[in-house]
Amino acid sequence: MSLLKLKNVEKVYHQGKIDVPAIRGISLEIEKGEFTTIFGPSGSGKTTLLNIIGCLDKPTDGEIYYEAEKKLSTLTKNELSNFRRYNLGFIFQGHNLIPVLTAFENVEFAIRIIDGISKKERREKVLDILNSVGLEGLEDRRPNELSGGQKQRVAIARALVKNPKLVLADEPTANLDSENSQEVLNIMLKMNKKLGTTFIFSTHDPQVMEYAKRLIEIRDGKVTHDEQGENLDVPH
Amino acid sequence: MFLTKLALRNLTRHKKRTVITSLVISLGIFIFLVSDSLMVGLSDMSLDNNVDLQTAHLQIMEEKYWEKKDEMPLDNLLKEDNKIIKEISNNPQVKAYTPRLYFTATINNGREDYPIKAIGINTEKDVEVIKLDEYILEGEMLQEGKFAIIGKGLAELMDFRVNDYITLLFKTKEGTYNTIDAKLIGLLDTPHPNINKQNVYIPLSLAQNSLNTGDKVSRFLFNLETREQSIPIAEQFNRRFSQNELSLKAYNWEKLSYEMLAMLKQGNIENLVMLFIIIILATAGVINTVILSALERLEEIGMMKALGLRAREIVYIFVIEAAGIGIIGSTIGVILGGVGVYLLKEVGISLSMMTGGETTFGIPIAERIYGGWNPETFFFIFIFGILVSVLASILPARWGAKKDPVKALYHK
Ligand SMILES: Nc1ncnc2c1ncn2[C@@H]1O[C@H](COP(=O)(O)OP(=O)(O)O)[C@@H](O)[C@H]1O
Ligand SMILES: [Mg+2]
Repeated sequence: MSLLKLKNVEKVYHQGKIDVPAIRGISLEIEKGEFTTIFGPSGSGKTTLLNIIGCLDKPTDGEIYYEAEKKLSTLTKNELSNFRRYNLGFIFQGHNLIPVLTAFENVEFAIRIIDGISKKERREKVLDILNSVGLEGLEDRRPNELSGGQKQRVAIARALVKNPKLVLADEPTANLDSENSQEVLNIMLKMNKKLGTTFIFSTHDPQVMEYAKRLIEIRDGKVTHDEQGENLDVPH
Repeated sequence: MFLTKLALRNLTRHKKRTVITSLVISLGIFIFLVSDSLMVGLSDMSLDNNVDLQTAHLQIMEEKYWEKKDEMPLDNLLKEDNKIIKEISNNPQVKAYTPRLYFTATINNGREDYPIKAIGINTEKDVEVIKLDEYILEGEMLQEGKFAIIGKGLAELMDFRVNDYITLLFKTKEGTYNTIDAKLIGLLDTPHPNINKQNVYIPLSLAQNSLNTGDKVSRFLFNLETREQSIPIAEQFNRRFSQNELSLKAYNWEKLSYEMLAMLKQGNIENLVMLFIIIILATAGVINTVILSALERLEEIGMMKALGLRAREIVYIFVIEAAGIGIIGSTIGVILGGVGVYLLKEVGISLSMMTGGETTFGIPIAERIYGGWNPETFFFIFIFGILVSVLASILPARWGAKKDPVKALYHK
């Protein structure tokens, strides 16, 4: 059973009187545990697509199903909030950490708002995930005391700490140098293997594509390529 | 709890802004407390003066006289040598009592008239109740004979000096005109402007003879051990009067100061104005702060929404932050106000300093006012400061929290 299914999704932005079509009929299925890269040049619709998948934005047309039965268009705002709270993790281009909270607290935030996790359990989860992303000993630092790569790793930890069904990462490496980019991608791959978390991340950087296990290329809001596994045609 | 912690930490993000907004609230609270203290002090002093110099603790008069007492009529009078009054004055709580005869007259200096309030007083007993003798500015206290004393304000107005002769023109009990020529033997300078400007005191016997009232008086003034006893004692006297089927009635100082209390109550309108100013100041400060914070933290708001926070929870963060500002502002304001009120209470403030010379507000007060102090006001204004901050933050917080997450995240 697929985790996610998009059926003829369209998105048109209205800019004054002009209609800007950003997504023009995308259908695809994502299986559980997949590590999918969405590749495309700037303006091709990657962010829009990820926002729609992440229930932050609504499609103009088409339907999205989670685990076959859940139709997103039928949910209210609060239900969507709840859905995100329990099932989705986000990693943004900017790390979007809260400057007055420590690394530990920033990560904790994601599960603080989930009921039924004891304080002890929470602490274990947060420390565990911070270790996994290589931030052992830096729990008490605030974002301004961390490097760009470290901040992005805190953001990854925050997305993963609740063990979500799906992590959406919109150009997570765009603000990082190549060394840090590689590290961040390696961590995401590692977590994908270790926890079986499904990842969808976007990039316009051809170098990042080598990490892809499934590569979906979009242009002008349409899927132009969708390749699986070993026979990936990735420029090395 | 976590959101509260976050909200309070957010206060440290722009310390300067937090402090300035808080201080705006503090300033409003400080001004409110100080002005309230002055109002309380002013009314306390005015009342004290009125009781000391005009009403005494309690008065007894005919019920029908009470209804018309402002006109100071010459009917419904009491006998000066009054059995029941003597009887009740044996009460150990009664310190002193004295009869008075009030009437309206005009004073004349040979050139012009001026309406005044004339009071016939018992030259021996009156000073035991109303200590006018302590306020003689020039000359001496009233004695038996064709003498009079008046306030210095009236003397200045009519150009009278000690030893001058004054002429009072009035209607007798029968309605015919009569005059009294009396020698001015003393000038009064009291902290009660009405006494200074309006009152003419003459011996009771002189008044009775000239008005043809015989041995009648209009009221008896009583001083008790303490002012507070006036309510139970008045009740006790009134029970006694009704048992004896008399139409006499005792009125305590509060009832006698009714008009003054009503006037002092108008001071409360100033309080409302001050409260309104605080509301405006605090609201403007808090709204400004919340909007600036929300704009700065748009990406954060978007991120929190992506995490699954509801708009309500984001509003909560901003509101708690505003409550924090309110608490800081209220605390500083109450501390500063406490210092200000303490100084007002202990040191006082010279009225001429406040008004630049002219010293009458039309209410009886001295040259120097001392602030009053009211713990409830402090408590009230502390809560008020916080409440206004919280309420002011709700709308801008909602505005921030309702931002579309996508727009918030990618607003650049
Ligand atoms: N809020 C918006 N209003 C109008 N047009 C938009 C908006 N967001 C994106 N677009 C347009 O939609 C298209 C896709 O944008 P986007 O999803 O951001 O692409 P990418 O993330 O691949 O760069 C672009 O043409 C962009 O100009
Ligand atoms: Mg983009």
